[in-house]
Formats: sequence, structure tokens, C-alpha cells
Amino acid sequence: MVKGKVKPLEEITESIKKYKKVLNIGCGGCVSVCLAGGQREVIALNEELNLFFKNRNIDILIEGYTVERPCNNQYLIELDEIIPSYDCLISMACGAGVQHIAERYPDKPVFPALDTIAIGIDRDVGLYEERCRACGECVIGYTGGVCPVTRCAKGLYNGPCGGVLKDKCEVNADNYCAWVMIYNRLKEQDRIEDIINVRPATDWRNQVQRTIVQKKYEHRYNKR
Amino acid sequence: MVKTIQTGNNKLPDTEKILSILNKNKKRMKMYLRICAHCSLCAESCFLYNTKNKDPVYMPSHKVINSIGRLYKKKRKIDRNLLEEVKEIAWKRCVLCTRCYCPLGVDIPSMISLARTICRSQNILPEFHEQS
Amino acid sequence: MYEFIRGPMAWVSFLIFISGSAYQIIGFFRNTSKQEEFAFSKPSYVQHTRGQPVNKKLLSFKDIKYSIKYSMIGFDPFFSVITIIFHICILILPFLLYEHNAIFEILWGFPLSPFTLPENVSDILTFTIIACIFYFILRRIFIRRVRSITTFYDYYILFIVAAPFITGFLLLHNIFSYKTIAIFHILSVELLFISLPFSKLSHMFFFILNRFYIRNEFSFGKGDRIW
Repeated sequence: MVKGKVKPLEEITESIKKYKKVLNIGCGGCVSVCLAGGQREVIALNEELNLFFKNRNIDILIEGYTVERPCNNQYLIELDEIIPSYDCLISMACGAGVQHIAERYPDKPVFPALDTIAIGIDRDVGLYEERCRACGECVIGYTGGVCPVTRCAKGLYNGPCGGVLKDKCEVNADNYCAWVMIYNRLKEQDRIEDIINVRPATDWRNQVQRTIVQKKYEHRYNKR
Repeated sequence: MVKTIQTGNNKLPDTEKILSILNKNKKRMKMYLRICAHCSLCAESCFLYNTKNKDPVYMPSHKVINSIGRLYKKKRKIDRNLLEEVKEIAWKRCVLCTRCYCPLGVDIPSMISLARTICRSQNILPEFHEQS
Repeated sequence: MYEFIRGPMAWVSFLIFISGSAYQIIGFFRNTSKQEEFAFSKPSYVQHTRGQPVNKKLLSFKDIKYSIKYSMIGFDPFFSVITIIFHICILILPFLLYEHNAIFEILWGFPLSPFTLPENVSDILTFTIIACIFYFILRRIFIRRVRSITTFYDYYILFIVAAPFITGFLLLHNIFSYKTIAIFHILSVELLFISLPFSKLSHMFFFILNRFYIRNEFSFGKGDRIW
């Protein structure tokens, strides 16, 4: 699912140094699974931050609280009564969680403590790899299960480009070229014809915020 | 000294804190536990129950009765072993997907999440890097 | 003794039932709150469905079929049918029974319902109810998932529900001493009335309230409240 990484300490301390009492809100969902923003990481980050400010003789109190999933209102209710006593919030949830917390508490400044990176897979303990960028129009059906948006540095829908060198990408020589992988995979499965047709590139212009309403539940929201 | 809201030493659970959380949600949770008819109709709505060979311990009502139900029954006598068992139920047997359905209107996810909150307040957590 | 349980005791149990029900229903509305309607921008939603026509109908036949297939009726049709029959029977039998109507006509001057059931039909209904309760007991014993959460309390509740119907049947057919059985019959009904709002039998209200008021996949009506 969603993978993230803790921001550099300097960036977090820079954003909260003006405040006296800070609450660090963790998330028990995806970022807790990728060992980035769960309760354990909240406690660890708080210790680090407290040490940082103590060494510089700055008087800031940082406390931590972890909720199940900040992206759901139901789990934010328990925060309602503890939040008023804090000057500002930092959140170790993903971007969606931070924004939802900010929306619920309009008078509190909220700072992210995590860089939300991608939707990815678990390779090993603490090692994750990007697999999806949530573009909203999945094409891996005809590219043989290799996503050209995330795996190709240029996001080409009709590849490869001219920069392939010994099956590697010209942007980063460590990465395999996605289109070579796509070609090999389709050839093995005898479905080369899938990529012979030219596909129109995704319309990246209209990046408006997307709302998802499932087909079965459309009748509920059509009245409005 | 780091002061956190969710903390607690590793020996004895902080009974007062658990009690304050339990009492805050008492009315709603007691109502849920009372109206649960033990009908077992929620079983099929849990995907874990279906995939884990229809093992009854994965049934939503079984999870709720054995986690939050036991916490309300024990109250002051909650010890670390019980919290460890509740942890097993609240995290390993439930992913909080909120798809479970109770015909009588019991909000099962909120009960599991309260059990998790109580464990969190005592720093009893699942080890994500041990599982997979 | 007979006069006491027939007079004041009946009124007390009835009052407890009414006030207990009111307490539960008010408690339901106090513990739930109205969900604010979420205003989303329609263009982005339409755009994301990539120009597919938006489903304008309330619910299509396919959706209803899908809902039924993946609901309790689809998963456990036998039990669903049994419970539906059981609940219909226990709701209509006391009101349509000829003897109850006759008693109320003597007491209050008007019957409970405009028409009554013939005696053999009410006997059949009674037997259906007792058979259903017997099935529930067997289910509690033999089905693994039900056994795992069954306590003594569940059997006690089944007994409370079964008692009025068994004693009523004995009363109608004049088996054993009429007076003793009558006392037991009235007592068991009063016990049922008193325990109804405060035990798991309160699903009588919560089932309906939940179906119509709680926001859910399967809610009838508007379902705009959340716990």
C-alpha cells in the first residue's frame, strides 16, 4: 500500500520550533506497515526531537498519539478532546491523513513529518519498491503487468525510447528499461500484438481532484 | 524524559488510564454488548473468516466478545496477559476493513478500534516487521 | 396470587416494557449523530468515470439481485427462511389468537384485532414457533461458529421466548391444572415483557432502527446516521 519515509530531522524541527506544545499524530495503517509512521516510530521521532531541542536549550514539549487511520473520520474522534491543549500538530500519516487532520482541526497548524512516496510493495524489512502512481487509468493489461508510468523514467505509453543501453535505462543505469521488460514478457506469453498498436498518452493536463463513487452506490449520490 | 500520552512501563498496565478510556465509551459499548444476539450472522461478512477456513475465532462477534467484552468484564483486574491476548485478536484477526455487517446495528469496527486504542495506551503493539 | 399477577403485576411489567423501550430508543438516537452530507465536485467525479453514463435509476434489478445474493439470504437461505417464519409467527399469533381477543372483548369491550385465526391454524403456528426454537437450540449446539459464542444466557433467552407459547398451548388444550398453567402463562409473558428492552431481545427495536437510520451498505430508506 502507501509507502512513506520520515522527513529529515532539520525540516521537521524547522517547522515546529516556534511552538510550545506539539502533538505528533501517528497512523496505524499503511505507514505503520512500512515502518515509517506507526506508534513505535512516533515514540522514536519524539525522543529524537526532544533531544534535538534540549541540546539547543529550546523549551518545546512534544507528545505523541497514534490513531488507527487518520483518513477516516471515525478514528479521529478520539483526538477531539486532547487536541485543544496543543499549539501545533505534526503528523506521521500519509498525505491524505495529514490533509484530513488539517481539515478537521482548522485552527491548528499541521505539519507533515513524512514524505509520502508511492503505492508500493514490501521487498524486505524496511525495503520497499514503488509500483503504482494512481494515475487513474490502468494500462498494465496490455503492457504485460509492467507499469509504464512508474517503471519507465519517462512514463512512455509507446516505448521504448532511444536511450536503452544493454536493457538498462539511460536515466538511471541501475534500473531495467520498463519497455524491454514489457517486450520480453509479452513475447514469452505470445501476445506481442498488444503493444503493436499506438496508444494515446494519458491526458495529464486535467489533474483535478478526483472523487471516487463506486458504481453500485451511485444512486445514493445522484440526488444531490 | 520523554513524556507521551500513549506510554506505560513494560511491567504493569496503567489501570487508571485503561479505566478512564473504558468509562468514556461505556454507554455505547455496553449497549453494543447487550444487543448482540449471538446470532453469528456477521460471520459471512468477514473476509478473514471466509479465507481462514471458516474458523469461528475469526467471526466478528467472537472477536468483539473476546476482546472488548472481556476488558469490560475484568475492568480493574486487567493484566498484561489479557492485553496481549486482546492484541492478538485486535490486530492479527482483524484488519479493520469496516466491511463487517451486523443486522442489529452493532458498530463492530469501533469496538475493535477501541480495543486497539486501549492496547496502544499501554504500548502493546503488533510487530509489523515480524509478520511477513 | 392469580389476581395479583393478573392485575398490578401485568400493569407493572407493561409499564417497564414501555419505559424500557423508550429508554432504548432515546438511547439509540443519543448515541448516534447525523452524518453531514459531503459535497463533492460533480465534474471531477463524472470525469473520473471516463465519460460513462452515470447510473440515474434508483436501483437496477441487477443491483438488487447482487445485494440478495451476497446478503444473508444468499449465504444461509435455510436459516433466513426459518428466522423470517419464526418472527412473523411470534408477532402475529398473540394478536390474532381467538382466546386473547375474547378476553380483551370482555375486559375492554373491544377485541385486539378485527379478525381471528381458527383454532387449528393457531395450533399450527404454535408448533411452528416451538419447532423453530428447537432448531435454534440445535443450531447453538451443533454449528461450530454459533457454539463458539454461545453462553448459558442464550439458552435462557430462548427459554423465556418459548415459555409463553408452550404454556399457552397447554392452556388451550386443558392439559394439567388450568389455574396453575394460567398463572405460569401470565408470569412467563410478564417475564418476557420485563426482559425485552434490557436483554438481547431488544433487537426488536434495534433491527428496525438500524435498517432505516444507520448509514450502511444494506440500509433501507435514507440511512443518514452514524454511531
